[in-house]
Amino acid sequence: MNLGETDNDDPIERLRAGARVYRRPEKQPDCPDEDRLRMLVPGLLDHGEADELLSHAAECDWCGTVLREAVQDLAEPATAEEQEMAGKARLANARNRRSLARRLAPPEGLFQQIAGGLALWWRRAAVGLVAAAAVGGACYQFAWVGSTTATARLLAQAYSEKRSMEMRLPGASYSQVHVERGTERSLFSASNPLAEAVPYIKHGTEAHPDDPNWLHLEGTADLIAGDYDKAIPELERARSLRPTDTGILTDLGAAYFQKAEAEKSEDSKYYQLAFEALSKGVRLNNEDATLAFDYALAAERISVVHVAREAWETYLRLDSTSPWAAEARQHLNDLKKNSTSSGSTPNAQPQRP
Amino acid sequence: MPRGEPGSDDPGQNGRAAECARTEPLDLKRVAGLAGLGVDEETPEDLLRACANTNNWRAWEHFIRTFNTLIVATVSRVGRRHLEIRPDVRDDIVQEVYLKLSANQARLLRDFVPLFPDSAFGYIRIIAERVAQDYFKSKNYKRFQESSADRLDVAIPNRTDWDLLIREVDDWLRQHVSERDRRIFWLYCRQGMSAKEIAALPAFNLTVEGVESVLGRLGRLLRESFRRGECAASEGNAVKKSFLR
Repeated sequence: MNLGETDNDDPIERLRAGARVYRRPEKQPDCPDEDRLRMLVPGLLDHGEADELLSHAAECDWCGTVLREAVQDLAEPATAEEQEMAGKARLANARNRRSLARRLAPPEGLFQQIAGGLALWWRRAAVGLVAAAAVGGACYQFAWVGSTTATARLLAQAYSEKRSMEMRLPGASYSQVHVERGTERSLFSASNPLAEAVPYIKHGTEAHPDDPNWLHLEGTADLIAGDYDKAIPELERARSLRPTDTGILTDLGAAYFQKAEAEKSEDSKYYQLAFEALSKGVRLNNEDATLAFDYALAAERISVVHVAREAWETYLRLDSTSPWAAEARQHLNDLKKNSTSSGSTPNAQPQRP
Repeated sequence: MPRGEPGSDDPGQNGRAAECARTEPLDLKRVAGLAGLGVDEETPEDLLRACANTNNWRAWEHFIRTFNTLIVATVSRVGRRHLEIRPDVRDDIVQEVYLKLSANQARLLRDFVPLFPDSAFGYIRIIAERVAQDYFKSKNYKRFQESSADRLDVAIPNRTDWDLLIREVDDWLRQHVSERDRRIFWLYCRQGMSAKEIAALPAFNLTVEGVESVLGRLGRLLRESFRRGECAASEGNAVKKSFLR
């Protein structure tokens, strides 16, 4: 097709012509697993992951090629010619089929092992049903146990059940802050959803040590548990693997912020690091309310008053009705009062989103 | 391993996921019955479970009958890309696919979690494609590649101009269109996917006409913007002029 024009000087067609000549499909360190790309074709991935993979494949010549070929190989049903081919293939013969089937079925002695695997499947299914019920009783919101999506929900639930920080985490619903200063929450004595998420995260990071999704979840779990020294390097690694993921940037900013809070020093360098991570996130997506909230909070802490004021105002434009908005409004009012009384001036000029 | 997505915006997808949720948990009696009798009315997802969870070769025989045409078709398509169409090679790869599926007590089948009815077909094809790709890679087959000069009836920009234009167009897209439309644009313009191929991706939830409409609109907006010089960086103007001659 042609994008609306037909002459040979059409810029879009020249862009495509250039792509045919200059594309260099070379695998990059941040390229995703190719099977995940293939899973886009039958629609076997959740929306979040599908969006990320498509954004990557649109710009990466290697992954774009894998995706294009996967569509060509997998999207269309077998043609008449291919059906005819299958009809003449070796396994069209019943004897050959039976012979292969006997090779594929495991010998009797292995049945117990398989039954063990099945029991494990049952246990995981049972845990999943309980977790899904706890998440909201919304049975239509079915989550597969142990997936990154289901684990992220458990973490969001853990955060909301006992919110221990002012910072927001993506996907978590509102609750009031319960401050537990000086007491670090252990992953094993923590709220149930957090403890429940831990084995999934452990399994996920062991099975996929370089998967930014699992690294992100691992860092978030440590952040919720109050282990900021572990959370920061985990989230930094996730960021290095997926630098434009605003969810990772949000949690990384929150981890730095909490580290600074734990130091109880107003000029902690970690406030600045939190602000930088969140600024980057806001530059990538200035319509994400969670990011906007955390960004405003970080700006406030490093005393960039005019940036903080603008940031809270921006937040309230994105969300003016939720309980989070009430907190944002309170922050904004406090800032206005303080700036009128003390006339504070900014001590830093960070890059604005 | 494929996973379900509970928060889907797509009502169809949600419906399918919910339907799968309703069919859980595994009906052992049904699976055992299938494994023993090889009945045809069971779902393909049941069939995968039967092969994964029992040691009945009849289940595998039924599996081969059900999936063989798709596996042969998928392997053939990958083979054509590597200029390999000999039936005996294709049959060897098809057999490799089954061996892969049954390896480690059928781990791949046990790992499979159905997201919607008939998702087993997509899953098995993915494994077949991967096995075929691995086969050709291990045998150092050369891939058939369309010659760069084929089908080019427009002037080709020089590399520097093309790189600059890519960057400028991407900046413009990021500022003016949705992320979905930006992805569609680059899958078409850079990765060379056709509107039909893009529409085949369920994540976009668009028909071929829908994709063409997005591309047509973006094309018009982009040209208009270039002509007005709206998004022009100073050095980029020269590039655009050369493109817009």
